[in-house]
Amino acid sequence: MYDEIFKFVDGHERLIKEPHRIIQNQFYPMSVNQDEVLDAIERSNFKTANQLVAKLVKTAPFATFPKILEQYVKFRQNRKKFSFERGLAPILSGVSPPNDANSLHLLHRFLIELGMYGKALDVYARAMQKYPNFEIGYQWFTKSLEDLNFMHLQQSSFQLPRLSTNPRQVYFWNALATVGLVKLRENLLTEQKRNLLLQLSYKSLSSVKPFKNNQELIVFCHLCELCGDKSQEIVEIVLPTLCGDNERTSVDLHLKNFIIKHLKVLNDDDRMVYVCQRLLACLDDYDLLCEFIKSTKALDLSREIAEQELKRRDSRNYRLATFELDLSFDGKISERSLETYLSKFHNKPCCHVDIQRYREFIDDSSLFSVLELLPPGLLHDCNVLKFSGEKIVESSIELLIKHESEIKNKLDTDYSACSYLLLNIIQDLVRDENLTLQNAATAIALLENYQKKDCFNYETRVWLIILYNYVGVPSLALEQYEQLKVKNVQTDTISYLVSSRFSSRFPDKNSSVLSDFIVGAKVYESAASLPQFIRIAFERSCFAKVVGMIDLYDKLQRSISRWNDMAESLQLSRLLNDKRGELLKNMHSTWRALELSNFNAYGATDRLELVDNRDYVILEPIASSCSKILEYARTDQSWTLASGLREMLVESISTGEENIDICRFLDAYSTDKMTQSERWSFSLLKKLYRDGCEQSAEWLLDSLNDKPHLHTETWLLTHDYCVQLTTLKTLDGIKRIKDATCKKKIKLELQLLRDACSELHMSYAKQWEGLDLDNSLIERLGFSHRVENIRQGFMTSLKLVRNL
Amino acid sequence: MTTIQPFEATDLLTLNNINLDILTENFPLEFYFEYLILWPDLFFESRELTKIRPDGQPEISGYMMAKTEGKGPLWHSHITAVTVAPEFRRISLASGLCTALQTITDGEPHNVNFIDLFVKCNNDLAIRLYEKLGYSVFRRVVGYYNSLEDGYPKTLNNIHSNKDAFDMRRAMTRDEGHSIRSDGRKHRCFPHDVKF
Repeated sequence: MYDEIFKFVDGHERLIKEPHRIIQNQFYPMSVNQDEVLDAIERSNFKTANQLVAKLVKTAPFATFPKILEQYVKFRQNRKKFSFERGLAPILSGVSPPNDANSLHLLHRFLIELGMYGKALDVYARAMQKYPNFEIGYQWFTKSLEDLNFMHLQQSSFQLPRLSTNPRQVYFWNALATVGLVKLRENLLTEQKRNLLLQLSYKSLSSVKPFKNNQELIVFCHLCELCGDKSQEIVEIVLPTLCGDNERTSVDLHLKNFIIKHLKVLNDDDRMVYVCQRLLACLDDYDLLCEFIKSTKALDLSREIAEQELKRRDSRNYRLATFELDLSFDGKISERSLETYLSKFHNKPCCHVDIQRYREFIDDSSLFSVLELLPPGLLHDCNVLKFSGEKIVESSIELLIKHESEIKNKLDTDYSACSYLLLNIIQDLVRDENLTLQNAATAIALLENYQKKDCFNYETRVWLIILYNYVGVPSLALEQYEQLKVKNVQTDTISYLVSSRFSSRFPDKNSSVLSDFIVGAKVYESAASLPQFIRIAFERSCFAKVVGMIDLYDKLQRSISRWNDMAESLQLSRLLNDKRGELLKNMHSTWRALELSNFNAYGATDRLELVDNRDYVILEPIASSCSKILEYARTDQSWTLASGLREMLVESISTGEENIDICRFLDAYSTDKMTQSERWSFSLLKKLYRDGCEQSAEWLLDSLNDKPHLHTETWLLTHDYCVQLTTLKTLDGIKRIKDATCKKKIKLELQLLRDACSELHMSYAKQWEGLDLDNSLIERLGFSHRVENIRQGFMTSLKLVRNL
Repeated sequence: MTTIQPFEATDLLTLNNINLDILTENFPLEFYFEYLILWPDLFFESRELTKIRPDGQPEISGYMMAKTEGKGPLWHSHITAVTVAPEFRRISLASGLCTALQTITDGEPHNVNFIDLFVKCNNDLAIRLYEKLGYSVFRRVVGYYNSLEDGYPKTLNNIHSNKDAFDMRRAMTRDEGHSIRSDGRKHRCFPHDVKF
C-alpha cells in the first residue's frame, strides 16, 4: 500500500521547484565579494574579512549593505567590544532606513545574533513604512513565518493587499495569520486588540464573498468562530456547500465539524437532524450518530424514527449507537442492545474500551451473563478479564497457558492478544513496590521468550527496551530498538527510550543508532525546510492545514528530544576527548533559535520553554505503576535545559569568559530530575563558573571529597561512573585550575575511579549470575529461563567504559 | 466508536500506536507535507471517542493518505496509505476509511473516474478486503516492489508474487466500466507505466 516512497523525490522536487516568487526570494544572491566576506567570517579569518569589506565599502560608499556588513564583521570579530549604539544604531535610525533585500536579510540575522529579538523583524516594518512595495512586504511576511512571529505575520499580511496583484488571496493570508495569532499566541494580545484584528480580517473576507472553494470557506469559518456570536453565519454559509441540492455535493470534513459544532451552539435540532441524516448517508461517524439521536429526542420525535436511521448500516458505530438511543429515550441501556453489540464485538480488541464508556449504565450481572453465553476464545477471554478487574495476574497466567498455542498459529504480521496477558504479569513483577533485580530478570526472560513468538509486537518490545536499559545493558536495548525501525518524525517521539542519558549509560559513538543522535536526527533537518512548505501552502491557497503545520514546526523547533540529543552529544564528546567546536556552534545557534521562538511565543526572553513531544502513552497502562524502571528516561524540561547550560558552563569555564545566556538562566532550572552524580557535577561546574577557578580551590577540594558513592547495580552503576569520569576529565583539562593540590586531587580521583571500574562492573555481572529467577513462573508458561545474553551485554558495557 | 476527522500536521506526533507497526511506513516530513498541501481533504483519520489520550484528544486509530492524479478518462484518486492500529483491527475500520475516500472523491471538487491502489500480489488478505469493497485487479505491475538489488525489471515475462503489485481499481459511475477488466490479472505492465 505504501508505494510512493520512490516517487516521493519527484513529488517533493515538483513542489519546491515551482517557479514561485517565494522560492526565488528566500535566497539573497550576493556578489563574489559579499560571499567571500561571509566565508571569511565563518572561517574566523577576520583579517581577510576586514580587508574585503573595506574594499566593498570603497566601491559603493553610499550603499547600506556594505556598511552593515562592516559592522557585522566587527561584531563577529569581538562581540564584547562591539558597540550597538555606535555601530549599528545610526544605520538603523537613519532618515532612509535599509530597504534592499540583502541589507534586510543581514540585519535580521545580525539583530538575532545580538539577542535583539524584538528588533529583528522591525527592520522590515520600517522599510515598508518608508518604501512600501510588495517585495519587501513579502519578505517581511516570509521572515515572520520562519521566526514563528505571528504578530509580524499578521501585520505584514495586513499591508500586502494594496500592493498585491492578487489582493483577494492576500486577504486570506491575513485572515489566516489572525487565526494563527489568536489560536496559538492569544497571550500576546489584549482583548481589545484581539477583537480589532478579528473584526478587520472578518471585514476583509466578507468583502470578497462569495468564496471560491472550501479552503476559503474554512478560513472564514475559523475566523467567525473566533469572533464569537457568528454560529448562525457559519451554518448558513456551510449548509449549501455540504448539503446542497445536488446529491454529490462536497463532503469536507472540516466543514462537517463546523456545521455540527455550530448547530449545537444554536440548538437548531431541526437542521441538526437533517444535516446528520445527509452526512450519515456518506459517512459512518459516531459523532454524527450521537448528535442525530440527541436532536431527535430534543424534537420529541419518536424512538422509531431514530431507530429507522440506525438501520442504515450494521457497523460497530451503529451497534454502539443503540446504547445512546436507549439512554436518550429510556435512561438505561437495554440487555438487547448489549447483546447486539457483544454478539459481534465480544472477541474484538476494541470491545473493552467501547463498553467502558457506558459502564456506569450497564450492570455487571447483565454484562457478564451476556458474555458467558458467547463462545470463549483468546480475545473474548481477555475482554472478560479486563471487565472483571480481579485476580488479574493469576488469571493472566492461566489464560496465557490456555492460549499459548495460538501465538504459534497466527500470522507473523498479526499481533497476539497474549501480549496483554503477558504485560499484566510483567507489570506485577516490576511495579515499584515489587521491583527487584530478580523480578526484572524474570520479566526480561518472559519478554524475550514471548518476543520470539510474536516478533512484530511493539507493545512487548518497548518494555524489553526499558528493562534492558534499567538493568544496565543498553547494548541489548539498542538491538531491540533497531527492530522497531524507528525513523523520521517518529524519532522525535520515541527515541527517548534509548537516547535519554545515552552519554552516561552507553557512551558508544560508533553505535549506529546513537551516532544518528550525535549528528542530529534527520527529522530536524527536515523540520528546517517546513517554513518553505508552509509558504507554498499560502501561495497555493491551501489554507486548511497551515495552522497545524506551523504548530508542528514550532513543536519540532523546541523539542525536548532534540535538546537532549545535543546536550548528550556534547557530554559524550567531553568523555571521549573529542572535538566540540561544531557541536558547540550548533548548540549556540539552536539556543538563539530557542530564545527567538520563546520571545515570539511569550513576548519575553526571561523564560525558555521546550515542548515535550515524547510519547509515553505507548507505555500505558503499565507505566503509571512502574515509575522506577522508567527513571532513566523520565527527564523533563528543566533537566534538559540544565544539560545544555552545563555544556555552556564547561565552555565558559575553560575560556574564562562570561556568557550572557548562562547568567540569565543558571538558576532558572530545578535539579529535581538529576541523579546524585549529575547534581554533584552540575553544582561543581556552576560554582567554578561563578567564582572562577582561582577562587574555588578550597571548595573544589571539598567537593571532590564529597563525590557521591557509585551505585553498584542497575543503569546507575555505569551512569554514575561515566558522569563522574566526564566531570573529572573535564576538570583535569581546564588549564585555569592552577592550584597544585587541586590538580593532584583531580588526577588521584580519576585514577581511583578508573581503578574501580572493572571490579564494580564485574561484581555486578557476578551478582546476575547468582540471581534466582522465578523459574516456577517461567516454566509454568513453558518458557526457557536462560538469560545468558545479559552477561554478554554487561561485558560490552564494561569494554566500552573501562578504557575511557 | 469512531469519528472521521481531518488529519492535521501535529497528528504526526501521536501516531505511534499505528506507525510502530513494522509494516507501516514512516515517511519523511516533506512527504506528509506534500499531501497536506496538495490534497488536504484526502488525508484524514479515524479517532476513537472511547479512548482519550492524556492531552484530552481521542486516540487516532487509523488514517488514510490519498491523492488525485491523471488526465481525462484517467483522472482518479490513488490510495497511498491506509492503515489501522492493531487494537482497532478486524472491525472494518480500513473499509470505513476507504468508503469515506470514495465518498469524498466521488463528489465536488474531485469527481474522479475511479480509485486505484497497489497491493502485493501475494497479499491475499488485503486483496480479499479490497475485492469486498468493490475493487478488482486491473493489471499486474511487474517488479513494482523490486529492491535496489533486484534492479528495474527488464521483461514482463518474469513474475514474482512477492515483488509484483496488482493495480486494483474501483470504478465510479461516471467511469462507465472503463476501469474494470474481468481478466485484469493477465494484463502486465512496467512500473513506469503506472506513473501519471
